[in-house]
Amino acid sequence: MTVFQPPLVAAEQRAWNYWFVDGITNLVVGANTLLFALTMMYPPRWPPRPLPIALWLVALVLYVVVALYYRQIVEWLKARTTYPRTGYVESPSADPAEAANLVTFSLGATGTPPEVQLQHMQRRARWMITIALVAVACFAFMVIHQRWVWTATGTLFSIAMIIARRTFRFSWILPVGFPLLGLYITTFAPRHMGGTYLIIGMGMLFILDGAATLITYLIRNPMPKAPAA
Amino acid sequence: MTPDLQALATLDRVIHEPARLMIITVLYAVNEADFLYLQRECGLTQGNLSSHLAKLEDAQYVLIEKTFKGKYPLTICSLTQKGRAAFAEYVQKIRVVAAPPAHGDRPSKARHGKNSG
Repeated sequence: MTVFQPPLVAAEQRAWNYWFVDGITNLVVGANTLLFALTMMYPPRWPPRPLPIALWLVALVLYVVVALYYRQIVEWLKARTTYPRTGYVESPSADPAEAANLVTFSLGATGTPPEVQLQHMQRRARWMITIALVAVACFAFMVIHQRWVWTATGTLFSIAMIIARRTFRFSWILPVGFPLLGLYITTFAPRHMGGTYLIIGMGMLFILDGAATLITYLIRNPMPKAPAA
Repeated sequence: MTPDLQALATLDRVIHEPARLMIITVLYAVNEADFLYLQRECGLTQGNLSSHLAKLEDAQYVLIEKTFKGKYPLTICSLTQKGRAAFAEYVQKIRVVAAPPAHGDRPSKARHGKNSG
């Protein structure tokens, strides 16, 4: 059954969706998440060595710059890809940079504590918890797609994914990729690198999602030969 | 003409035209949009959209600015305060016209059938 949406609400919703239509937002979030992971890979240690310190500083500065100028960077990229193809509409009133940070930190905060705990457990317990986490992730996936929330069984993961779904647009790559990433980290990743691998994986998933969306968008919307107006 | 029906005659004709109503609805929902976006959203041809935008601009409902985003030239359209007020008033009037009758006001089906048949 088609649900009638008032034209004003529909126009607003379409403008909101348009911000995410080309995947550029996810690409920038992914790149920024990887920068964050770089800062985790090269934390300052004693005695200080020039190269790791320099890498850590560059990654940290770039991360802060991208986080602060997220909207401007996205707009700059869109001005070269999206606006000439399908037009310009003002970006959503809610600040997408906040949404991006919310998603990144929600997912990070969600994944890290269980992962840290799992490092100290026996192999069998780790497997059990991993399977439980995957089940919870599958449940979260179903919740998101059925627009149905069962708060009694709501976990941090599902809450984070619901927040992400409401503030962001992403393809099936993220809901499928996150449980697989969790599975990989809990079983194969070195114990002391679990958190870093998680952030790297998150960044790569966002980039993969953004790239897939961007390629689809570019194929569907070739550049017009003459300016529209 | 009854006073109730007279409300229909006071509808803003500039907005009431379907294509212009679409344009204004989109611009009311988003603060600003360019020509290409409006064209795609409303499904209008370039010439058609141009002429309707010109009429809305003449009525001082829409502001049209030519600018650049990077190297790409944009014709950005936005609603003026006057345009927003006119649209809000139009919506208010349409709501009154389309309001469902109070319980008991509408003749029953059987009676309606009897009268008409």
